[in-house]
Amino acid sequence: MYYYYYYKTVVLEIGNGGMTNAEYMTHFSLWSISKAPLIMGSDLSQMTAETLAILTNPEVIAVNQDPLGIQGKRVGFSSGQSPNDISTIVIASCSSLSGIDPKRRQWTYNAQDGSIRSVFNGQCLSIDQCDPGDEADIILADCRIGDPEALCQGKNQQWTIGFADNIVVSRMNGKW
Amino acid sequence: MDAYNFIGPDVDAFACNHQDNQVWVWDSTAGTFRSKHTGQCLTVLEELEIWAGPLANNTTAVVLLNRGSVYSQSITMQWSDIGLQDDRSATVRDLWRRMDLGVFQSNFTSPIIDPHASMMLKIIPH
Repeated sequence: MYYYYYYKTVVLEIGNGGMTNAEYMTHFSLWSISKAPLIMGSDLSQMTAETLAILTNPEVIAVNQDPLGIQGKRVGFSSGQSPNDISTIVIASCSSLSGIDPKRRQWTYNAQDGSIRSVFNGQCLSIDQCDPGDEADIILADCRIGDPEALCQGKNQQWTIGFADNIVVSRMNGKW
Repeated sequence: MDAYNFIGPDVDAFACNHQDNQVWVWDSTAGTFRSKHTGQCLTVLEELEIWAGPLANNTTAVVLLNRGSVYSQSITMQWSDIGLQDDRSATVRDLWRRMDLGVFQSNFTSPIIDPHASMMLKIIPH
């Protein structure tokens, strides 16, 4: 997913499989705006029409070849627009040099109600579904523990931190 | 809670495997959960990114990127993100679709952008 961190050192992966067309377009867009060399890295004899269309879009290539020659970079973030703004949870560097707002990696745990709340926005660490399948995403969402109208009545937001074994287990089914 | 496939960066809920990718060292003073497997911290991703770079003729190339893994969302860029004054009007052009989207002032809000998808624009001030 973080393939674009390496844009200075690798050829384009477009057409090599493993990504959706939307992801290939993102890949090509970031290489283009970063003024990275656009070197095809896939088998040209096996190229699909979609791959060819991505690699030959003249306006996107023109950004890469613009005479000013100044590298684009990340200039900002947009907060989510939806009232139920929901965020993805990842593991990332703990270093203060990472440029990430430290509040984004700070949490409070309430052993009584089992909530793990983000210091960043007060929202709760949540499993995004109630159906106990094999695997589910963990996200950040408005805290609704005990709300009969909420997804899983908020049980998907209740956790137990095992202080002996350092395992964080969902109280929803005890399995995760 | 599980560091996906032992490398992350995604975090998911997965059956207990008693391995290091499910071990989280909780530091209640610092408020951090550190993955024993990678040493990294449980973090709220800044998932909607705005990339920009100047082009010739005082235009600007912009990429609006949804780096999230789960939710489709629209992304708003402010003129100030690209050093343009709020009161300026500018044509916004979609470079992938090769069509103008209209004339906007002070900001532009994209349609819904899927996870890992993006929109590439050219901002042409009047």
